[in-house]
Amino acid sequence: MQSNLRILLVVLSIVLIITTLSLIAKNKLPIKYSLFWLVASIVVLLVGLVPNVITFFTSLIGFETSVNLVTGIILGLLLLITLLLTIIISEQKRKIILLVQEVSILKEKINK
Amino acid sequence: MKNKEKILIIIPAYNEEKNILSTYQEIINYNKKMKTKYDVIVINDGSYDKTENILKDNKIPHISLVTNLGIGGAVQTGYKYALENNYDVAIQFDGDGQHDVNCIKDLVKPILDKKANMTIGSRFIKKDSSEFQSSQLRRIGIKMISLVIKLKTKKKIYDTTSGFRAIDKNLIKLFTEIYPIEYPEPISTVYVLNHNYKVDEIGVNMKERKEGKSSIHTWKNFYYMINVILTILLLKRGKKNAK
Repeated sequence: MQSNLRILLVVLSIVLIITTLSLIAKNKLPIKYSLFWLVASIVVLLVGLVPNVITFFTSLIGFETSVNLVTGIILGLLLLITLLLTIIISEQKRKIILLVQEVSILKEKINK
Repeated sequence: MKNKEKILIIIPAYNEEKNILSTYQEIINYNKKMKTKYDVIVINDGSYDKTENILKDNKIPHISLVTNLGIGGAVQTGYKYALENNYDVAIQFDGDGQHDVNCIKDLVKPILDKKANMTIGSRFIKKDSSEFQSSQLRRIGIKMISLVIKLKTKKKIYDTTSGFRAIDKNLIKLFTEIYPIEYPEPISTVYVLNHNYKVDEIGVNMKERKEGKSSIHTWKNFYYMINVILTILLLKRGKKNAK
């Protein structure tokens, strides 16, 4: 893996970590949802810092070059985050339905 | 029929301005004629036509959902209302004039006699009982869902998509806790069977819709089938509640 790509990965992951931490500090992102982002950025950081591991896995899995594996890892992380978001949305939908029902029943009682 | 049991008819209504008043009046007239005491609650599921005005002007008991939830969320609201007001039997009844008021007693009787926890008004039990039998393609779909339910629960349900059904107090409680959001009829039937409650199918008369279109459109049928079959296959068996 070329060293400028490694520098890019390290910088990218550090920016991501700082952003996530500052969002937690400003109370804009609950720990629950930020942990995954932190883990994801640490994975990217490790990829940049320890390229030997990547080279090892590249030949093991059968990728042409290590850059492809890096792309694959990032893609996998994104898919996981999207899945997490879908789960969160479904949970919220359930809660919204409950709220709409309760509010509507209450309104009917008040108007009686 | 004993008169002390409290019976509630839940009518989900989404843009039913043309049918809702006549459906309500049919029930009221039936009550007068047969000396029954069916209460009615219309759940207005965020209609944007004149349904709300008609309900208000005619003093029809109703709950207006502050936004559209879909049939599952609407009917569940009715069950919550039934639980709060201590009803013994809750009947789901369409607001579009498809269901026959005269058949309600047939659905209620097995529940009051404690022979079933849920009764489903079926078009297919007695072939000649219903003038409306639905289209060829839809019947095939209904048969497929029927087969999947048989596989999953060992119980044959013929009219799997019927929205004309009655449930007892136990199931009112269950349905307030858990009820499918989309396409609730076949899926909730599997909930009930999975919890070892007894389901009975009763032959009823169904008419063609008076006005408006059914909520299941042709292009949605494929999605409907996938959704229902997958959900049923993946449902876990419930706790052994009854008997």
